Amino acid sequence: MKKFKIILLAIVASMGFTSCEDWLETQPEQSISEDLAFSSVETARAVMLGGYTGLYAQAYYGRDIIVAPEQLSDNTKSALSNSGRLVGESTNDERSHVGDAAFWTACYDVINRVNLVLANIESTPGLSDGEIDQLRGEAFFLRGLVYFDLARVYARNPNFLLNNFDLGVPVLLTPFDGLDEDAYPARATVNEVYSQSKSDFNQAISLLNNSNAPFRASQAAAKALLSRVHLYLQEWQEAADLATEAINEAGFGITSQANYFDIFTDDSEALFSVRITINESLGNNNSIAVLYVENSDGTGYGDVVCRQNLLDAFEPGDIRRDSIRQVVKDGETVFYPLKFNSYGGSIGEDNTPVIRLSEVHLNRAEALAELGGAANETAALQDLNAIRNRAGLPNATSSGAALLQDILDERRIELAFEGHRFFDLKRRGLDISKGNPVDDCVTCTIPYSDYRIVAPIQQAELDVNPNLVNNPGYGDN
Amino acid sequence: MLMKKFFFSLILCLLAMAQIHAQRTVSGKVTDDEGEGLPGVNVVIKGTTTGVTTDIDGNYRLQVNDADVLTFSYVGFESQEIAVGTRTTIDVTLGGITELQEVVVTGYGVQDKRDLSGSVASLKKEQIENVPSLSFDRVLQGKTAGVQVTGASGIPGGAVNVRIRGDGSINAGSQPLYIVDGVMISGGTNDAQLIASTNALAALNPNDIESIDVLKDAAASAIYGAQAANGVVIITTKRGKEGKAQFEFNISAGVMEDLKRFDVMTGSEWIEFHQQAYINTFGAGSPQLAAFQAQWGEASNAINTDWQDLAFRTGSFKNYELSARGGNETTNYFVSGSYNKTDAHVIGTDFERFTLRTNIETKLTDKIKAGTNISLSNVVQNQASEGGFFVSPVFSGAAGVPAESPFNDDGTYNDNLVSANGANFVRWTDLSKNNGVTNTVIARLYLEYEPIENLIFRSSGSVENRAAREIDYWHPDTNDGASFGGLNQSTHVTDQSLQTDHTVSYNRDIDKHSISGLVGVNYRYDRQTLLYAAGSGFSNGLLSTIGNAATPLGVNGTDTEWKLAGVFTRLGYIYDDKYIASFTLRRDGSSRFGGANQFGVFPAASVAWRVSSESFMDNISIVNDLKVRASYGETGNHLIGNFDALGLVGAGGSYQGGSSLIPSNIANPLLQWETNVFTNFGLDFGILDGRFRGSIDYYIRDTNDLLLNSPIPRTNGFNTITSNVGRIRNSGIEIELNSTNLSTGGFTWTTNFNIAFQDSEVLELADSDTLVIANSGQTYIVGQEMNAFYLQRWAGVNPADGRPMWYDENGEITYQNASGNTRQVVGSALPDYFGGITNSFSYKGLELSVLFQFQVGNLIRNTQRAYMLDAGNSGGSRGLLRDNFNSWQQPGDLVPNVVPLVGAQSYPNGAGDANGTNNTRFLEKGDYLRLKEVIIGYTLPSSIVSKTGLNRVRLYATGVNLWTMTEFTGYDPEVTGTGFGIVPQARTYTFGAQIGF
Repeated sequence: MKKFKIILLAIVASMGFTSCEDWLETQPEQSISEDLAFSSVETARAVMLGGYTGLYAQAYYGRDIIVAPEQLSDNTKSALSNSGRLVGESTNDERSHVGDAAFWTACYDVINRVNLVLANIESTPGLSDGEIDQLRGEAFFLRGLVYFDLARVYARNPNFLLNNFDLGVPVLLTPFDGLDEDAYPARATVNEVYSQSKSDFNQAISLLNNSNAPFRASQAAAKALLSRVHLYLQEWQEAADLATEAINEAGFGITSQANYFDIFTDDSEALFSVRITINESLGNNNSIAVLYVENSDGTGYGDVVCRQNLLDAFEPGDIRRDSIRQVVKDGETVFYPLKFNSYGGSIGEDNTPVIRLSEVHLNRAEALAELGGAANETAALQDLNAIRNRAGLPNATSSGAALLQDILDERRIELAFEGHRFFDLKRRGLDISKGNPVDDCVTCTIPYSDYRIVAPIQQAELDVNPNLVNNPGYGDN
Repeated sequence: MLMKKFFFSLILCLLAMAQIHAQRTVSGKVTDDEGEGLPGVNVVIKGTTTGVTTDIDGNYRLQVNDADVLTFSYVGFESQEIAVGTRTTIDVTLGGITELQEVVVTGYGVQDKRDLSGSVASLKKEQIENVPSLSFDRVLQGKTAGVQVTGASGIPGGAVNVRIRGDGSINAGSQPLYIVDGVMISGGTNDAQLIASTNALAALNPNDIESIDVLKDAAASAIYGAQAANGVVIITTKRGKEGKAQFEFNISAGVMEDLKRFDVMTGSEWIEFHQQAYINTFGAGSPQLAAFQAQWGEASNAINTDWQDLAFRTGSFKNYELSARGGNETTNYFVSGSYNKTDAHVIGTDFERFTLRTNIETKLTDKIKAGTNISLSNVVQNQASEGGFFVSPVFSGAAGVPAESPFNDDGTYNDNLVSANGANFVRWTDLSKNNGVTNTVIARLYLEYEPIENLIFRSSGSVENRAAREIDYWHPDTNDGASFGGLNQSTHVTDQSLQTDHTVSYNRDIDKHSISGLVGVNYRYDRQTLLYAAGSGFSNGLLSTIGNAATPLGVNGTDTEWKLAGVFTRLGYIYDDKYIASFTLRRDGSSRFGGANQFGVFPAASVAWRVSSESFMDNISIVNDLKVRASYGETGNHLIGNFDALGLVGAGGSYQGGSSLIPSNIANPLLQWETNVFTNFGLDFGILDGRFRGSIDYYIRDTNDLLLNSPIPRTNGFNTITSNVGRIRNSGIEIELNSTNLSTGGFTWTTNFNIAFQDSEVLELADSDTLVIANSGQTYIVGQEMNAFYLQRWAGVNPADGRPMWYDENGEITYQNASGNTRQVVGSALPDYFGGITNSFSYKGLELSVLFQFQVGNLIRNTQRAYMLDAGNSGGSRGLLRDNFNSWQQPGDLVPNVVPLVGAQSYPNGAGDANGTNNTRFLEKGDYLRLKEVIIGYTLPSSIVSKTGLNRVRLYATGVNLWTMTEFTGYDPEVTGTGFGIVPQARTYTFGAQIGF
C-alpha cells in the first residue's frame, strides 16, 4: 500500500513540479519552426529558394513590374475591349501604379525571406563554407534587386527630387523578431535605399560565382545590375566600368541577328532571368503573356497593346518590328507584342528577363556618352551599333547630345515591353508624352512634376504604421 | 446477421452470470405512505445478486430461504431490511424521504445538488431516453437553461452548435468541452475537410446515457482550466446495479418528413408571370418575348413539376437496442449494443450506426476498485450535397422552374434545364455520392484505492480513437462531374487522443464541519492526421474507387498535435449545513500557447448560504429549501490553432524544380488562451414540501484577451498578427422551475420550465470599431450585440413606378442600395431569450410528456427567399414564389415586390438591385415556438406481463418537431447562419417498445 502511495505521489510530483515544458513540446509536421529551418542543409536551401519564389509573384516579376511600366509610359495602352487588367495604368490614374499594395507586399516578402537566410544561414550544420557564401550571395543579390525596385517605384531619382522630398522606403536588414519599434520602420531617404542596394550587390559580387546563371544569382548578373543602379544614379564611370566587367565575365556575347528571337524563347543572352515553367506559371489569368496576347484558342486576354507612339519610333527595316503582330480585336486594329508568347509551351510559360546582355551594352553606351570625349563616344557608338546592326539597322554616327538621344531611342526599342520605359523616363526627369494624332489619348502628357509619377504608399500601411508618411500629392502627409 | 450473432452471444454470456438458487416463494406488495403501489422497487436478498423489481402495482414474488434478509430499496425512499423467517407474504411500506436527493456530477467527483455553490444544470436519463435523435447534444435543447442548441444542419447525425451562456469567442472555438465517463472527447465537430461525418458526438448512443451535467460558471468548471471557458458537458453512461441481470430490449421505428415548403408557382403560373416580366422589360412585340414564348409554349399547356417533392421524401427511422445490467457485491456491469438506421427526409441522405458499450466495475480487494468503460461505434453516412450548391436538393429543390422536369419523356435525365444553372440535382443525387464511415473507440481504465475511509486515490487512463473515411464522388454523367470525366476525392482523417488523470480526494465530517479536498493532475495528448487523394477520369459509374481514376489529381497529408497538462485542486467546506464555500485552482500548460505564456492559472471561488437551515426559518414551513449562491472565477479557452504562437516556415511555391520554404506564420510568443471571467449569483429554492423547486442565476461572462488578427506593417512580412486583444461580454438571467402540480390518486402532473435571457456586447476589438468575418459575414461592432446585422434599411416599393427604395443615413428615401454610412445596426442573429417547458403527466402505467421550446429576438437573413423571389436573375429562371404575384404592375400599387423585370439591374434611373441581401429587405424574425417533443408511454400491467414471462413491457410513441409557430418564411427557423440550402430538421414520428426480462 505504501508503495502505491509513493508511486502516485511520484506521478503527481513529476507532472506538477518538474519541467512541464517537456510534456508540452510539439512539432508542427507540415511546417517547421524558424530555427529548425536552418537545422539541415536541405531546409536551409529551401528557405533560400523562397526568395526566388517571391520574385515571380504577380505583382512583381510575375507580371506587374514588367507590364505596368509599359502601360504607365508611352509604349503601350489598353485595348478598347479588355478584361479590366492594368487599365488605370494605361491612363496613369491616381493609385494605378506598379506600386500597389501587392507590389509592396511582394517586395517585403522577399526581403523578409532573404533576411531570414542572412540571419541564420551561417549556423546551419553541414553546409560547406562555399555553399554558405553562395547562399548569402544570393540573399544579398535579391535584396539589392528589391531595394532598387522599391526605390525606383516609390521615390524620385535623387538627381531629380521635387521640393527636396527625398524619402525612399523603409530599409529592413533583419527578419521579424517581435512587435518592437523595429517593426514600425520609418522611410529611409532615397539615397539610403540606393546605397543599401549598391552595398548588397557589392556583397553579392564578393560572394558569388557564375556557375548558377542565369536563373539564379551570379556575380556577372550582380555586376550588370549594379551597373544599372549606378546608371540610374548618374554615376557614369562606375556604371561603365561594371558594365564592362559584366560583359567580359558573362561568358557569351549578344545573340546574333539570325537567332534574335532566341533571346525570348531560350534566354540566350540572359544574365538573370526568373525561371517560369509550368510549375511557376501564373497561368491563364495573370501571367505576362495573357496581358500581351490573345491566342486563337481563346487563351490570353490581349489587354495591353502597342501605342502608335511606339510603332512610329521603329526605323524602317528593323527586324524587331516583326515581334509585333497586327490583329483586329473586337473591331479594333491592335498590335500585340510577342516577346512573351507562352514560349515554354503552356500559357504564361515565359521566363521573365531581369537583365540581359543587350541592356548592359546600352547601359555602357549611355554612361560613356554621358562621360563624353572622343574615346568614350567611339566606344559608346560601338555598343550602340552592335545593337543596331543586329536589328538590321545601319550604323549610327552621331555624337554629343544626339548620340545620347540615339542611345535612349535604341534602348526604348530594344527593351520595349520588358518593363524599362517608364523608369528610363523617370530617372532622367522626363515627361511622358503618351499621345500622338492617331492615338486615342491626344492630351495625355504626364509631366515629370506630376505627383502620379511616384507611387503612393497604401492607406492600410499608413494606418498601421504611424512612422510612415505618404508621397506628396496623395492625401495628407 | 451480425447483429443476431452479437445478441445471441450477449444473451448467453449474461445468462451464465445470473445464478438462481431458491427454495420457496415469498410475495408481497410495496406501497408508499399513501398506500399506492410502488413500481420498480428493488427487492434483493441481502448479500446476493438475487432479486426482482416490483411490477406496476408494486407487487413482487421471489424465491427465498427462511434465513434470508430482504432489502427493499427505491430511489427517493429510505431502504428497509426485513428478515423473511417463515412468512410467505411480506408487505412493505416505504417512506421517510420526501425530498429527492439529487446528485450532480462535477469535475472529478459528485456532489449533492443541495451542497452546490456553482451553477450546474442536469438532465437525467428519463429526459433523454427514446427521443429519436442521433446525437445527445440535440437532446439538451429546451431542457437546460442557458444551453442554446442550434442545428448547423438537419441531416441525421449532423453537426450541432451548442452554446452555453452565449458565444464567448470570435476567432477561437465556442464549443463546450465534452467529457464522457471521464474522457475528454474531441469536440462536437470533426475536421472541416469532411462533409458527412461532422459530428463526433453521433458516435454515442443517447440511450446509454444515465445523466448529463452542464457546468456553466467558473466555480463549477474551473477545475478544467484552459478548456473550460465555453462550459463543460459531462456525460455519464449507465452503470450496473447490484442484483440479478436485467435485460432490456428496446425497439422503435418511425417515419420522418420535412416541416414546411415554400409556396411556389405552378408551371403555367410561372410562364405567365415571366411573360409579363419580358413584356415589362422589352415590350409586348419584342423578339425577346417571342423567343421566350417559343421556348416555353402556351402557359395552359405547361407541365408542373413539384421540385420540392423531388428533394424531400418520407424518411424512416429504426432503432434496436439490447442491454443488460446487474452485478453482485464485488462486480457490476452494464453492457449494451444498438443499431440505428435512419433514412432522412431528404433524398440521398441516410445514417447507420452500430454501437457497443461495456461498463464494468469490480472490487479487487476491500480497498481497491477497478473499472473500465469501453465504447465502440461504427457510423456510415451518405449525404446529398448541402448548402448553396446547385446540386443540393434543398437548395435546388426550392429553385426549380416548375415548367420543366428533371426527366425527359423517355425517362432519361434532362440535360437542358434552366433551373438552378442547369444543374440536375436529381441526377446528381442518384449518381454521385458522399459517403462517410466513422469508427470510434473510447476506452478507459480506472483504479480506485481507499486506504482509509474517505481518502481515495483515483487513477485513470483513456484513449479515444476516431477514424473517418469519406469519399466524395462526382459521377462523370453529371454536369460538375463531366468537367473532370468523373471525380473522386477521398479523405481519411484520424484523431487520436490519450488522457490520464490522477487524483487524491478526502472528505470528512467533524461535528458541524464538513470538509472536502481534491488534488490532481491531468494530461492530454491529441494528434490528428489527414490523408487526401483525388483522381479524375472514370470511364463509367461502375468503377468509382480512386484506384480506378485515370488521372491522379493531387494528394495531401497533414499531421498535427497538441498537448495539455494541468494540476488542480478543489477545497470545499460546509459549516452546519448552512455555510458553503468552495475554492478551485488549476494551472494549465498547453503546447498551443506561446513560450512567454505557456502556463495559465485559473482560480475560482464560490460561497453559498442555505438560509432555510437557519433557525429563524424553522417557522416558515412553506419553505423547505432556500439557498443563495455567489461565485467568481476565471477559465480559459484554448481552442486556437495548434501552432499559432510559433514562427513557422511552410511550403512555398517551387522554383527551378525545388520546393521552397517560406515564412507561414508569424511568431507571437505572447499568444495565450482567451480568458473568461465569470461572475454568478444564484438562488435555489424548494417550497411546499419540495413540490415547487427552482433556481435563478444571474451571470456576467467577460471574455478578455480575445484572439483577433491585429494588423501590423506589411514590411514585417505579414499583414496581421494573432494576438490577445479584444473583449466581449455576455450576461444573462437563467430561470429553471420544476413543479409537481398534482400528485394524487396515482395521477401526477409535473412541469419543468426553463428560460434564459441573454445579452452580449462587444467591448473592444483589435484596431477598428468594426470587424466583419470574411467567410460568414458576421459583424462585430464595439458597443453593439455580437453577430450584429449592420445593413441599410429597406423602404419598400415605390407605388408610383415600382422601383425599390431604401433609406439613406438621414432616414430619407433613396433609390441607391449603398453601403457606407447608410448602414445601421438593426438587430442580431443571437436571441434575446430562449427556453423550454415540459409538462409530464402520469397515471398508473400511462405517461405523457410534452415539450415546447422557444426562441425570441434573433434575426435571420432569408437568402433562400431572396434567391427565389429574384425574377430578373439567372436568365430569368427565378421568380418562383407565389409571393412574386404581389409585384408592382401599375401606379398606385402598394405591394411588397418590385416590378418584375428580366435582368436584375435594369430598374429605371439606375436604382439598385432590389433582391440583394445586403439590406434589411430579407431580414426576418427568427422567433419561434415549437412543439418539440411529445412522448406517450404505457407500461403494461404486470398481471398481463407476468404471464408472458417478461419483467416489464413499455410501449411508447414519440413525435418531434410536431408544430411550429413562426413568422420566418424559410424552411426552418432553427438554423445557424442563413440556412441557405441547408437541410432543415424533420418532423419525426416513432413508435417503440421497451421489453425488460
